Amino acid sequence: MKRLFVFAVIFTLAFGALAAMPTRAATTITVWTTGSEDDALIFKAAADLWAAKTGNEVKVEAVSWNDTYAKNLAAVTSGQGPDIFTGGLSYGIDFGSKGGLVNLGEKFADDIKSMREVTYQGVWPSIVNTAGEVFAVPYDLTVYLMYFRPDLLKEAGVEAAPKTWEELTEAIKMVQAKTEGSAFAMQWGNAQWLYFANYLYQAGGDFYTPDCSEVTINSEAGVTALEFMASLYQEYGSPTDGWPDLENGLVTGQYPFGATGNWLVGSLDVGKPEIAGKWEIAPLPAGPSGKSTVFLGGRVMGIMSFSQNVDLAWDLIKFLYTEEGASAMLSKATEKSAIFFPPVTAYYDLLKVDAAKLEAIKTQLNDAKGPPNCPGWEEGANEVQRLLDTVLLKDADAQEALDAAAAELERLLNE
Amino acid sequence: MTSLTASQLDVSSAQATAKGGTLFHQIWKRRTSYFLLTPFLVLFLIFVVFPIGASAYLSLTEFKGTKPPVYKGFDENFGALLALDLKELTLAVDKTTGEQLYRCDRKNIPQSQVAAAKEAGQTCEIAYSRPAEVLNKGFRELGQFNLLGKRFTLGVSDARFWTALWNTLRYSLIVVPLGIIFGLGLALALQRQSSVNYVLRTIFFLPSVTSTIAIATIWRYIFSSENYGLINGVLTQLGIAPITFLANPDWTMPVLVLMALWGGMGYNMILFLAGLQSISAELYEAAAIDGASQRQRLWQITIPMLRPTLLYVLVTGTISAMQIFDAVYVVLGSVERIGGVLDSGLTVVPYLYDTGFANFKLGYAAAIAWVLFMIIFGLTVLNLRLGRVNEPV
Repeated sequence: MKRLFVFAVIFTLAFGALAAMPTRAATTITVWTTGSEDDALIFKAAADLWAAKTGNEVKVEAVSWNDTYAKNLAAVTSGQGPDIFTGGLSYGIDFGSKGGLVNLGEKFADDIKSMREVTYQGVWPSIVNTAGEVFAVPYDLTVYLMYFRPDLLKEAGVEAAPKTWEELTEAIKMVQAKTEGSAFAMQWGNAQWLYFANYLYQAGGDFYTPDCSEVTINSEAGVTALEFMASLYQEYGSPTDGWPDLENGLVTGQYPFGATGNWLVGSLDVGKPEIAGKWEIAPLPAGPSGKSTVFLGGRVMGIMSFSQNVDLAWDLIKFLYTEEGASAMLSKATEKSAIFFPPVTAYYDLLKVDAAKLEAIKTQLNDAKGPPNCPGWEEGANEVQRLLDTVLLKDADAQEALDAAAAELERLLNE
Repeated sequence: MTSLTASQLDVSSAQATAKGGTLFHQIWKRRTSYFLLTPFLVLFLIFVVFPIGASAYLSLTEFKGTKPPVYKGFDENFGALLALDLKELTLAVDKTTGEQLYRCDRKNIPQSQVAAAKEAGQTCEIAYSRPAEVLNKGFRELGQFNLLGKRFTLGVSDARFWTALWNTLRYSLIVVPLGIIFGLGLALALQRQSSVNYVLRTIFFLPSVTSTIAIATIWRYIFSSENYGLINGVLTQLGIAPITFLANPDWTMPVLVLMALWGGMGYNMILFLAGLQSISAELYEAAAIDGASQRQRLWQITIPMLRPTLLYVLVTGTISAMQIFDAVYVVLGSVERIGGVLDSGLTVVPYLYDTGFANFKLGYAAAIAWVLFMIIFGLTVLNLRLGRVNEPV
């Protein structure tokens, strides 16, 4: 009995010592991805690969677009939240200026330099602040595209997708002569500054000068853009609702053509199989400047300054830029009938989209511009929106509205 | 100048000790009660008193969340919220010719060209200087009005707040009286005890026990201008052009009012039913014997006897209407920014939310909360004064 007791003690001590031996615990990286559950799964596809390679864990949570700004900002202010976030293009500058993000340009200068070389160049002016600081790197890209039903347009006498503003209004008139309803729907950012940005760029204007020293929204180009946009609602009957049902409109013929983000390329055939193969995409019509420039959207990703795992989080972000990481995300996107457009230009061809459509996306991407990176824009956008509404919905004078918008943006710029 | 003598001080000190002793003695005597009250008092202090005190302090600070609040005093937030600027507008003249200008179809033209413009079908009115030219820097025009033959512009430093306040008052002034009328009407119609009335009461009360977010989401679909929008679906079937209920500033308030009435009248009905049950049947019998008509019985017996209930519904209804949030957030927030197009449905609490939790101006948001609190407090006192519920009928 005594011997048995001694054996038990030795056994217990031995196991205790084994259990107490230092082992490398897996670190968990928490990620908040902005968008749907599918968007989170797309991120997770690459994150799981990285986790398997490094022996760490990644927890990915989806945050809807409606809540993402407030939730991430709450994380920034409270010092509690994810290690990595993905969010709108302007979030990097915004949260970075509040001290909430790791200054990636400073901490990982060489990596950032390499990233800038391989990614889509058009996105960087919107995510680098006026001091040249980089708090977030591109995660994916979104551009406006025109979606149309060639068969329905032909029935109305429109032979091809409109290439200019004049052709657009002419096409709307021809369709309306046949259907007597709305013909052209602007879905993403409808009646908002987001869509106004398209017309502003196409008219040759911009919100600010490139160095952010002056507000230029009330230029002649701005007035032309706003008056044209207003005419689409007031004269040509485009729906003013927040999110017109373009997908269904393409099926029923209510909207034989319309514009929204490139995500529909991945989901339209699945969501509306009855028009599979019957729709096409094209760049948006060019304005008086001769350019078809559109607003560039998408998401950036950054590391919260309170993260205890900055280096590991950065390693994960870098993995997303590898072909292996991007391929995993693209495969998952295809599986989910979504479109994930990577920021690394070399991976465009990995997209499982037919050649003609991919070419159209590339063409539009080559003529796209992101939101302003100037101080005060985030705060001023609300007032700009209200003033645009006075013109679009209340028939106010475009020049007066834009002058007021410019005054507000200037006040914020100089604050 | 007087001063306390040493003996006076001794007396005061002794009295204070005696009083303190008495107080302690009283507390000790009731120690079991206080002990039992402790859990509530602790929670009350932590979750009610402390947040109220903290928000009062924050309302006097600049606090954006990322850095500690900086005390700025009353003017920083309350000044920015409530500041007004009233200026007279001068007649607009052509700078080169000195000729009076007229505004014809959004363009200013000299007086000499007005006749031609009118002939061309344009509507012209005398032009005044632009408000932005006369208002102090940072102020935006809220509206214009004529007084004693002069034209004035009223500027405010936070136009969104005043818009929200105006919308809230407008909404409350419509919803509260209509809610009372419909609630009372339903109660009178369904007061007889019968199984049909029990079922109808339950149906009318259902919205009050259903999640307001779920209800608002359904309303959003009902009012959508797309084909899946219920109302527009029906209109389209009837060959009527769809109405953009949620993207038209003229429709925003009617939509909010309709939702509030539908969701709130069942609750008011239950309160009025309880009130009606407490009115003695003898009063009605006596009135019937005296030959009083139905209408006379309603106005001379029912309404006066329901005064406490009416006052309760009025006060709680006003408080609830002044704090409307869910419907605005869910129904209008999806269309554009939180208050709908042109802020036509923006009310004070959604504006507070937008300021505090979308823009993280937490000190400013706290100031908005205090202004709203003072307004609700004032209205409640006014209602109680006007209702004089404690006076005998």
